[in-house]
Amino acid sequence: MNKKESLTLLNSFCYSFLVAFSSLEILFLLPLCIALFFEKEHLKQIFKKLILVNFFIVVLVIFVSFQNIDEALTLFLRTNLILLFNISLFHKSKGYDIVRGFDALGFPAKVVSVFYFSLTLINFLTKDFIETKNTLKARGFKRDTSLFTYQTYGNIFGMIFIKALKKSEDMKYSMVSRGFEDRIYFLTSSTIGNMQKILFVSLVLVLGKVLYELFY
Amino acid sequence: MSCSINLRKISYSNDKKELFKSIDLNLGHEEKIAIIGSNGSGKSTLLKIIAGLIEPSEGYLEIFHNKIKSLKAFNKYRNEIAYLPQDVSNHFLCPIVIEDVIFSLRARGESEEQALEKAEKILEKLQISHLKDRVIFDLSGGEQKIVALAGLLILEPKILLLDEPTNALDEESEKKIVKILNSIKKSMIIVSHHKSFIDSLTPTIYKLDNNDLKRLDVVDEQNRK
Repeated sequence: MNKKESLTLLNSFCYSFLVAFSSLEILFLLPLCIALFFEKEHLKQIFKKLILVNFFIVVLVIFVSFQNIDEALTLFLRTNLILLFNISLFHKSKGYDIVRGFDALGFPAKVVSVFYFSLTLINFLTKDFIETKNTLKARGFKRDTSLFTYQTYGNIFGMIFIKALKKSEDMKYSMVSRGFEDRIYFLTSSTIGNMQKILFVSLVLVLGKVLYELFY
Repeated sequence: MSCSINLRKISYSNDKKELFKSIDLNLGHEEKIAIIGSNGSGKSTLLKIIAGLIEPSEGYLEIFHNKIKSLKAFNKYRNEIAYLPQDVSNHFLCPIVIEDVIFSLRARGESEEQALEKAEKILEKLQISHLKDRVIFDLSGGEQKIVALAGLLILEPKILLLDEPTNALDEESEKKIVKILNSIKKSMIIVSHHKSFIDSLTPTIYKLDNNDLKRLDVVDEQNRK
């Protein structure tokens, strides 16, 4: 069992669930501060990513604020707490450790495989998209509002779609020839990092306080 | 010489055109055969048919003298025949080198410990032990090809089918692959464009041209080009 990845995922689920469904408390900052402390060398990167995803949240919050400002503020705080915590946990991840975590937490083999191959395909398409963008630059393409620009973009997306289909077909051949039957086998590892351990303890504390206030 | 694979009157056509017609080919025990041909001549398709991935329009295959009537019947021989696709990134089914190398053994039901033991040996033999914990997609093209080969060889197949194994590789990586392939005593069919690569592996060369597969004379240098 991959204990490190599964505990990281568990921490992530637990924190997101607590922040989303219980009343906001100052104690919620404790796990967040711990996560940020362990990633103190990458704070700039983490906050850069947070700002990027905030573009979408801000639009949502603006719409909600027309009806209820308090609700909009709570929504903004909750989403940012969850995002900041998760970004600090996964900002170095290429996604494969999350797949490992799913596998270790006992998700069905088919779900893990689908998640893994989706991730592989997304990585492939991203790489291809960057290469296509560079090709456009190298071939002197300048975007504007002409029909030619839209036609070019249409062609590119069409080609990426066809490439994705071709890639899927070729991967199917590999699965057949290598004896794949729904399951990917990950190596087991029993190491757990200090960050995961301390985060888990802090989350148990927060959960305990939330439950105590709920029932007493 | 006993034969590993025989192709009997194999034809293949897709909805656009006929790629080849009534092809016969015999691959002997531990024999290495190279197939050359122009782009779009159907080399990769022929290799996929031999690997039991697509069905021919007409004709049939014999594997170890057993007639194969359908793709389902091919499953019995999956562990005996290893296939390396042209785009090697399609071969990988796991993120880390060591995990991918042991994949087929684990899928066959071997324990993780047994599989790891075999993987260590094969990685050492191919001199890529230092790559075992790396993420596959961070490796160079040459390294990826060797890792893919390790994933095939760990199953100890009797037949290797390699589609452009040196495609887009530098000279150094090509030399490494040649050294590895020359050290392997197995039946092989290699599809490639690289003349120097083929020459350093085998004198038995076939050319797929005008819907037909013809054996080239060893001294017919003109035809090889």
